[in-house]
Amino acid sequence: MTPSQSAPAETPTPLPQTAAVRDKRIDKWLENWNRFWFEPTTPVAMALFRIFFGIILLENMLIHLLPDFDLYYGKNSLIPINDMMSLYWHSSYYFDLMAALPDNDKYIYGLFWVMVAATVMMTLGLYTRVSSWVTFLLLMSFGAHFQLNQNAGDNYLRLATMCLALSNAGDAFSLDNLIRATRQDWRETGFGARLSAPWAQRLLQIQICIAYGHTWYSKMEGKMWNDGTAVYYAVRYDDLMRFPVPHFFDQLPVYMILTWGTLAIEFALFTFIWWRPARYWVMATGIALHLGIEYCMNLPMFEWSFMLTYLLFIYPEDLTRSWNWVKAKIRERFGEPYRLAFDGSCILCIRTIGLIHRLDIFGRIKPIDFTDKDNDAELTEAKLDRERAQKEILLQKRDGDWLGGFKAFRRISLRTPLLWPLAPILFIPIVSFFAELIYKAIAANRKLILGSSSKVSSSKVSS
Amino acid sequence: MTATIFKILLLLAIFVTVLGATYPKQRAAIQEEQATNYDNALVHDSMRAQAQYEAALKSTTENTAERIATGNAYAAALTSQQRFEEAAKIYQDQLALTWGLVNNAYNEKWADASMHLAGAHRNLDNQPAALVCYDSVLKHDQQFLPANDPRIVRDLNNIGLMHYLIGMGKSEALDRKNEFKTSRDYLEQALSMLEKNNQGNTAKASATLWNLFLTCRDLDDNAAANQYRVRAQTIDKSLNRVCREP
Repeated sequence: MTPSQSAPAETPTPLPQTAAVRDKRIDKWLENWNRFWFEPTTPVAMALFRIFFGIILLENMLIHLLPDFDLYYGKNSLIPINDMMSLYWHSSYYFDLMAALPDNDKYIYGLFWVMVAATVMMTLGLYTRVSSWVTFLLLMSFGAHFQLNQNAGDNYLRLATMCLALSNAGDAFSLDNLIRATRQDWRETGFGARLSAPWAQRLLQIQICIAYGHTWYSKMEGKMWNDGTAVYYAVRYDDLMRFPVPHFFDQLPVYMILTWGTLAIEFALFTFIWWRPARYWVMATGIALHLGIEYCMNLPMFEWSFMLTYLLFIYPEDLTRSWNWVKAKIRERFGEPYRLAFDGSCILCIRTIGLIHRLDIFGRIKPIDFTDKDNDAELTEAKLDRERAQKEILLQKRDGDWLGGFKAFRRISLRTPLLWPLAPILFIPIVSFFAELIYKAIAANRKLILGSSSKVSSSKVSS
Repeated sequence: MTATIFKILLLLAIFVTVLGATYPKQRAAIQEEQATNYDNALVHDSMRAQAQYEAALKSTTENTAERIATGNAYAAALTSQQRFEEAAKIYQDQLALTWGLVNNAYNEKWADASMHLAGAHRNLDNQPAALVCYDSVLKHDQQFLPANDPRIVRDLNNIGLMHYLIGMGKSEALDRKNEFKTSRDYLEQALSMLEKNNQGNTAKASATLWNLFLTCRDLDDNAAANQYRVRAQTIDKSLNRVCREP
């Protein structure tokens, strides 16, 4: 030690500072933790997942299970429930609603159709929370009732349904949301989906990463995965083979690339997927991997349920941007949206417009409040007959003419894909006759039904 | 918060109710399975038979009949469990126990024990040992039974079959043929006795004919083989038996 240097005893103790740094780090870590699990996020990704996932569940139930239902679950099934309990359950506890009911096929069939109905409701977003729980409990029941038709894909379906039941997946793209919207004034609430803590979505994201991590680790222990020949054998596995791999692929270097590529992709799918710059590239390779497996191997639902889960990794802003791009492309192709003039002083009209706007997912209708002075210039230019607008809702056609009342609604149903199933019915003469009458009756008394509007401006209708 | 707690409690209640309602059924199913399980039943049977056999062996009183009966029961239980070596050991003991029960006359119990022992050796795929047993039974039967006794036919048929099976295991063609020839001799003797006893159209004759068919076929005597086959099929048809060519 040179004389110019301080003796250690004289230096101020660094401990408090270190502790402060450590505290800061812990605070930062906790902040990140809380942000990851609980920072309110849009439920749109989870809602999209709910819809497509529901379709996969229905496919599984109606196409894979129903044709062999008696073989699996009937009284004379391959393994009756008593044998299932004694030979497969042993002393473990399984949730099986059918086993708790009297031993009769009608209960099992009944619960199957309850499960189908609950899944349809979950997909449509009707009583989403309850229907998701019912679906989950019944999926568990049918899984336990006959364990021999279950594979990893079924386990994943159950886990994902549980996460859906825990999430707020019904807060967007759902009938629940539409019904709730009819009771709300969009001028106060806006049209954006209710934000909520995304912890259930995070659980599902982590679940799929665990699945990839586990499969990667298991493969790394396999000799053939290490010497680069595993895919050669996997695509020739008779029980699961779908389409053969083209012969020109039958070269060792190709299989080495495919084998080690699979390991690399699966590794990335639980690591680099969390790194924002790499996320979409990793997802793209994951989709390529699953589509490749889907081509070669027949693993019902498995690949699609995994690929669908990638939806949950799309950042909300990117989802919005993508959808805006779609709407812009549609506008480019089919022209500007149709003007819909409504009475902003009537609450019934406002709620109806809110409903139409929510159903109009491609933005083909542009609602304009004719009582709002900000819209005067546009409506004058569009030659709106204000007297007529006082009596009925008006939709401007491409030629500039205005369609009124029921006919306007009917035209809206043609412009809004979600209303297409309704459109043919509205063109049936007897239906249109009575609908016209009903519309006129409601329009004449519209301010008596829900009253007049508050002072909130409705000139801006944003999504 | 209250609503969330209520929902959690409701879910818990559903789980508890379903698991509670399922559990008694599950217990009953497990108990029933344990009671009716075939393997368990075999184990229980053999344990019970073993206890009875050991009790009979330990008994100080003269109880040869009981020792034979319990020994047979225990060996049969072991055979059901495919424990053939242990069964063979018991039949071996039965052989010693029954030997000398009858002097200068037909010893049925000894013959039965020998037949059982031969069966155990066959189960163990030890045809030469089975052949020794069948041979000794034949000698005993020929010594003490009438010349046309059906039990001699049985012995001839068994010995014929053993020679055929031993022949099948030989790697040299000549050795194989020699065994098949011996087999054919015994089987033809058996068939001849059946015909003399007016049993030429019975199921026993059919069995011998089928054995002869196999032996002749493997001796490349196709004409004789076909003849035996046709006769065997005719008998089977007359008995309404569906027998496929081996």
